Amino acid sequence: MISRTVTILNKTGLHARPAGLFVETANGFRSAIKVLKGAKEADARSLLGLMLLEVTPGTEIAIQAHGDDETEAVAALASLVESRFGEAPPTSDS
Amino acid sequence: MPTLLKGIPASPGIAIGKAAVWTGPAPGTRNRPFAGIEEELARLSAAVERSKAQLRDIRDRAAVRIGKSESDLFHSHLLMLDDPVLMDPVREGIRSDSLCAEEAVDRAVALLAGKFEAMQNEYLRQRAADVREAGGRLIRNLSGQPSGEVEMRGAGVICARSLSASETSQLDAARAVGIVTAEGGATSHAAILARALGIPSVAGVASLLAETRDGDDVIVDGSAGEVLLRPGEEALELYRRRAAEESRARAGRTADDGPAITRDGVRIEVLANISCVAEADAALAAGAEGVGVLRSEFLFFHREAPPSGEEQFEAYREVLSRMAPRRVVVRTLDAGGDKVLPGWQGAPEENPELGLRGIRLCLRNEALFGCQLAALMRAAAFGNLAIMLPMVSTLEEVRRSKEIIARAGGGVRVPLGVMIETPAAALMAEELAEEVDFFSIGVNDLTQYTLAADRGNRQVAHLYQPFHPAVLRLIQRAADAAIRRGKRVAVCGEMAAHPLAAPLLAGLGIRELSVSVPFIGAVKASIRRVNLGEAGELAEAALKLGTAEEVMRRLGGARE
Repeated sequence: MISRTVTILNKTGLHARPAGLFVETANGFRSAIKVLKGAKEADARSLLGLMLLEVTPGTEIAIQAHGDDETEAVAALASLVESRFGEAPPTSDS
Repeated sequence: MPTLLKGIPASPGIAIGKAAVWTGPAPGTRNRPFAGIEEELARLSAAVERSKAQLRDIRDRAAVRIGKSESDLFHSHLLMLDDPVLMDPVREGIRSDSLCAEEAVDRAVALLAGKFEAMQNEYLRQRAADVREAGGRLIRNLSGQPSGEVEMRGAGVICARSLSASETSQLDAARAVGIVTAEGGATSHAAILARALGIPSVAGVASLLAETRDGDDVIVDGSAGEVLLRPGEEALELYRRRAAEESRARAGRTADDGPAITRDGVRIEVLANISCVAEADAALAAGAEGVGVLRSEFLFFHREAPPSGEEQFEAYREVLSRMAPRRVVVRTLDAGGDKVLPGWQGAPEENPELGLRGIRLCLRNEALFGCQLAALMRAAAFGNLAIMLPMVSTLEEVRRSKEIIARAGGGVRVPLGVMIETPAAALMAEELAEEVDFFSIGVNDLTQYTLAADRGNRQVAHLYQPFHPAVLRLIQRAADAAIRRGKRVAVCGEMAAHPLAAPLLAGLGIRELSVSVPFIGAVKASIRRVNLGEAGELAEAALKLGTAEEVMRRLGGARE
């Protein structure tokens, strides 16, 4: 099993669109994948479950995968989070 | 008994038909005898498949007809029907508690919606409504009720409290001959789509549902904003004749592509106000000479986060290249007030119309504003772009904005204008004209702020008078300041489309009018009847009058 902790940096946290991208990415792997926030956890393939975690910007979450492609799954999901789900960066200096 | 109801003109034209009162989809039966675990599970999966097929259909229609943010909404409903967090408890209810599938869905939806409602975050709390809408669809499909959209496609004059995004996206111009809503205004979903589809519509008819019975005869006059319920044979005959005349006139003129030139040879440009990419085509088809106001808010609402710069760029480029070489004036984000920006955690305001809205909100949120401006500057290469700032009340706001634009633009220069919609802006027009390239006088807000009257408030709506001399004097002041410096000045807002307005505004020196797409032909026609010499005298006389009624009477008399 592989686990990695990442910080949510995009503007809205895990709202519908970022959560949707997260689910789509998770669906590309065979491993069982969970997202943990404090004592709460959700199936990475459940949009509703992810939204119910109420993950706000600045929150740390752990991505945990178990299966034959667990390394790739965690890497892909972590980099999705770290890229702020493709949102524009929060400052205007770009 | 015949009843006349007044509302806000949302889409012009006359419609005559039977009222189809729409109170939302029928709820569907919840209680039926339990048919055994296997049978209930099979019914459930069949209903899930039917619901998903409907949602895919709605999503794809919405993507074409309204835009990506709308279609994303339906896509999220689609995902919910496969989501274990919703569906596992449903199956559990069937297996362990011997519930029929309907009741199992009902319970699971109530439980889940309750969890969303208990959340801290406003956006997430509102997702409870999505869960209920998706669940309601599933229950209707289980109990064999029509899906809702099917009924919406019914014939007649649709009469509803308001229309949801999914309902609006299903409207069919061939069968819905008219639309009347108790809530909403000229910029609600239903109004925008009605105009795009050419369906006459009136919004904001408060007593609609109390007065209307299903099957009543209804006449909708979308140009006047009037609804006549249960008219007698005489009124029906009159309006049938008018509707026939209108449709003959429409058939007789294809797009009115020609310029609008007054009888004494002065050209007045007629541009379109539009609220989505698709409306650009409708504007062209109607003979618009450009876009006078592209309300960029359409990109920002009905979604959980502001659009990325890339998404904005694509939308602006699309409109600019469709309209090229015609001019497109993009109004920067005009949110705030009652138009709450998604993801924006503003302090609650007691008086939002006088609060953080328009340019004030953009300057407070410079990252968002800079992102929009950068996207616009990138898109500038694809057409004839001008940028316009809404709700300006001070010179500092313009100067700050110019600095941000210079930073975002990377050397690109596009014409910059301001909306004149506060009395302060009109009174400071001389100084503002030094700072910018053009004005657009937004008469709707200018009237509201000058007469301090909210037209949505029935107790003071009678004071909302765009033809009041106080408003006209401010228009004159702003127009003069621009004209003296050789800057362009346009009038936008509903007044510009009023049949009495063309001579008055032309007489005040206005050479650009920007109106909703369906009014373009009529405005061009009324400009062609104007004699500028007479119009100048008329305007001068109107400015000296004491009341809006005297102005209207003077203008009406001049037309005879």
